[in-house]
Amino acid sequence: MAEFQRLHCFLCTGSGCVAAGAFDVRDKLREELEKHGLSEEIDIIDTGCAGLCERGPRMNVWPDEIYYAQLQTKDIPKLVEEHFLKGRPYEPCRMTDTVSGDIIASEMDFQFLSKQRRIVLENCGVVNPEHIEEYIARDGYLALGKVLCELQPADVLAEIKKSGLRGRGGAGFPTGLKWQLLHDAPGDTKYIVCNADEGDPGAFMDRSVLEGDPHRVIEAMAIKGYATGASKGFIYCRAEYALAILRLNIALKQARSYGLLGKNLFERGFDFDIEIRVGAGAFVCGEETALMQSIEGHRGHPMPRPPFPTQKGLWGKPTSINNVETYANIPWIIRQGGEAYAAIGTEKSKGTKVFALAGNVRNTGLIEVPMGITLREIVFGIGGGIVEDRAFKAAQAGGPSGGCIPAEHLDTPLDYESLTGLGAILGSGGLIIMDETSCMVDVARFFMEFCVDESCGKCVPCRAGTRQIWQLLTTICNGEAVMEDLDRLEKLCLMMRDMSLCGLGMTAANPVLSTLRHFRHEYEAHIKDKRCPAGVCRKLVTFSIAKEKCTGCGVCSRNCPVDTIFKMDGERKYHIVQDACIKCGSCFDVCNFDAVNKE
Amino acid sequence: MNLEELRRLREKAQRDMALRTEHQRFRIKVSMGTSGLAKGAREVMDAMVNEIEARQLNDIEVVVTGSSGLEELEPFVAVEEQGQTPVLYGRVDTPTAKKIIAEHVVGGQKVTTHIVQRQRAEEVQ
Repeated sequence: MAEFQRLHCFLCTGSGCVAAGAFDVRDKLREELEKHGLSEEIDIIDTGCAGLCERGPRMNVWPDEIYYAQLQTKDIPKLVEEHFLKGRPYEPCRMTDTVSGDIIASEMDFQFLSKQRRIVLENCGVVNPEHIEEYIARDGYLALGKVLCELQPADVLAEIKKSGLRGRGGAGFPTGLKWQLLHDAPGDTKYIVCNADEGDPGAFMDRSVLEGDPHRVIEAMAIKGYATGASKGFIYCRAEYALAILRLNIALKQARSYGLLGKNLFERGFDFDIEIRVGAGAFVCGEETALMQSIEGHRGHPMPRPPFPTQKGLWGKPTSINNVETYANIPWIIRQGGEAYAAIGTEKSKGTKVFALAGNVRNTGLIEVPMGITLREIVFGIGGGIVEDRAFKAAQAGGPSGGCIPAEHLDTPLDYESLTGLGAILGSGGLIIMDETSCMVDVARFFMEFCVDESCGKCVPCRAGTRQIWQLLTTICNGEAVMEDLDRLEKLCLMMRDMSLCGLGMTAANPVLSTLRHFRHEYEAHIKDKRCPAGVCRKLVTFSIAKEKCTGCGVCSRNCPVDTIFKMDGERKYHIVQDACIKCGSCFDVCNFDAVNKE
Repeated sequence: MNLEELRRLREKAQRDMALRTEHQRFRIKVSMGTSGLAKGAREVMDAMVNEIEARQLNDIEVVVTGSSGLEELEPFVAVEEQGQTPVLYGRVDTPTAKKIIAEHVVGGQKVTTHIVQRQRAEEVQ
């Protein structure tokens, strides 16, 4: 038995908390514990992400069940003395509810946590990802053991099909069917791949799973290997995910040392091992054919399909690719049964989905919810409502391949079919909440700019199309467009959708098409009235000072970065010289008397 | 590794992590306010933790609390067993601390010499 430790402190060391200084906090904690002679009896455990990255670095203390947030090294001496030595939770650092401001005493009190349903993330934030024993304590590798010792490959396939699990990378292809295709493919050598080339702006669920619970993906890949007859797996992870790669490597090594990877697993004569391939960060490498090219060592270019990967994949052998999140569901499904999984969610979309909730909501972070939850429940329940109680305008789902869901569809259940019906996609699960201060044309332009950068350039529709669309959107944002440009824009988008080679190009115009569909009036306002309703597009915004409200305090003038706000001779009021104004909005933000107009 | 070995490994790992998931059978509170600390609560706590470790007990949590207000009887140790009335010990020193673990927690016999009577506590307050 391990030494008895009276307190277990779970310090989140996901990338979000690390960026906020979690490692420094950990070192300081160790130092202070040492100083008070407490290091023997208090355990600091590095865990993965629990989802609340915005409030990092976070720490939970058990068994007291105290939640700390936004810890800084300067708080640590006091915290250690008060809480660990004297037993009084250190109030200034305790996590508070974003809506009520109350201290959070239990997970059940905090709707961000209490309304979630965790399967994929069940271990994230609860185990130390660098200790395989902790994963095993949470029933880890039991599913693999069960599969190898008690089930035939056909039984595994049947179970996955029964669960109704569909690909979580975006397209939503039934996972059981995908596995069956690989199982049925002829040949002795087959490969399976885990796609961890997560690239959508704002989506980070795959990273969190790999950082917080890497063994889960390893176990699932071994299960898939057994079910489909493959004995070699690749995890294709982007180089930017350094911590994920580090922890994956540790996990692989531990799994091998316990005999959970390698030869003759569970003494059943099944061999399986995994290799990590690090991608250089091109968005297109998340596309399956480009990904395989990259694994083989070629330039990451998409290839025409057919042949599909299950017919001719890596090195010409049958190959099957699943996303990290898809894999992360597998051990649970095997342990609890396909039916239990199918009981969650909607008719055609089963189970749970992880969303990266971002934008103008009070609680942002990683959430896992049952399929079919409404957008309203996410925004106003888990998300705690819009910042400053502004009005909800739209949610952007699915990143650069997705589209937006306007306010009138707040009660639409979030699943594959309903979102496709609205012109958005579930995609990888990025969910950006926007309010009245977001300009939809600008949003479309942002995503198009991303696609311009990330288009691989192989096919003309995507290479030239993204740039042309981006240019048209820029003209609209600048107020220089004419109404015919809207038709031209739409035509270009449809052409790109129909003619591009790979999924990236086919879906790149979705953000434009969906904003055109739901927010055409905003486009028209930019063109006809030369006005940006949200006040975002700088060329169309004018800042001026209302004489009757100006008190002459001068705070705007002092904050103006280009010194273009002056006091007129003999007057006590300020005014803005428009020629030099760069429309940064500083004056608008700093004025205490609402005297600056933005229009 | 076979399935049996995995199950054994899981049970062992679960024991090590038990503190994090559910409430334990025993909860021992040591009052460590300033006066408690001055009167040796820190040593009492160390003695208890060491005793628990030496005996390889794992259904116990040791919690630190603040001062009780009854400084005269510090250091206090409260032993809360699930489903039982909590027992409060006062003026605990290291030998008594060890005794509490050995006799009360393991043996089920309260260490009567140091029990603070609820009634008396109220009178003093």
